[in-house]
Amino acid sequence: MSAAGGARLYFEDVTVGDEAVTPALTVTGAHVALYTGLAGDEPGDPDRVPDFLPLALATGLGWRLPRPPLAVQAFLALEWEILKPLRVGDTIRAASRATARRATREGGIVIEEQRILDQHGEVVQQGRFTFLVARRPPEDAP
Amino acid sequence: MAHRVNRARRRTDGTRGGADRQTAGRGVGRLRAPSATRRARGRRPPGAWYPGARMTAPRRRYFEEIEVGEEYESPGRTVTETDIVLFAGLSGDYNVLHTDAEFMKRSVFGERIAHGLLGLAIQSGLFTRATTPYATLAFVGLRWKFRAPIRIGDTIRLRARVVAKRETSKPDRGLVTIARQVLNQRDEVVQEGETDVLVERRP
Repeated sequence: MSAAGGARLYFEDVTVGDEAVTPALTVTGAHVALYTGLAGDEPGDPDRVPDFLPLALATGLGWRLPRPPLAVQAFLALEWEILKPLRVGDTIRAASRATARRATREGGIVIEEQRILDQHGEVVQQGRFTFLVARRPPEDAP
Repeated sequence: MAHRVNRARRRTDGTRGGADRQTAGRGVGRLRAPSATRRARGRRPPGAWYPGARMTAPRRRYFEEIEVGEEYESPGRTVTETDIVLFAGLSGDYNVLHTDAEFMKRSVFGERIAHGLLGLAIQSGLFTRATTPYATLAFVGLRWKFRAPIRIGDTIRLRARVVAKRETSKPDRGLVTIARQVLNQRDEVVQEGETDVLVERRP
């Protein structure tokens, strides 16, 4: 059972304050075309990166950190600001850290602040994710 | 929407159905008036792919034309397994919630569910199909709640309402706040929140 779904970071493993920075990813015209088709957005300037695409790419970048993924049971809320537009060819990375954790009956609430940086180190988007995270199942105890 | 309202009103006025159909027919005809088509054939509008294509820039609504209280409802869109697979591939988010059918059989959901951000992406596309596009300069903010899962095969639609308009320090733009609800085929709210967009003022 513990192997199912792979190794994961449970609520007990979350530490408030540690910042993790992901590897970088260059946003290409292919990303924009795929995203525009999938979202059903109006095709516009093909060099302009759609607003929510960096957010989607940042969640994937989080999976490339050298640590198991958070055992997210539900994505509860998102507050997000878009500070600067991105163009095709820009390279992004994401920096995130847990800022609060609170135990609940089902598991725990984790609030994570995230910033998306461009190749110049400028913050282009930022905000706060609220996740419901599973507790470590008894058979998975260290 | 306006058509439907007009037709309903005429019917209560006692006009016969036949007359309604005629009116509706004329309304549709007006959308592609012959003169407009002929004009388009004569000179290729910017962005047209072939002579006769009506590819003039779509009308966009300026800040002044948007009113607080306006409501829109989009067409529905069925979220498929393909959407989820593509979104996992594009984003790189391979969370078991979205990609491991066997693991999810034993979860509270019983099956794979869509990424929350996929629902967010789809509603932004549905918004463009719900109303005449705004003369948007920038999307600036989002306050969003994910209320319930979107399952494979669910059909979602967007209900949106303009809740606030605010002038900004720059005279060429204004801030429009839209409250949005993403509903499934059972009219349950699966996602909801507010978005802020900067919209051009009429030049």
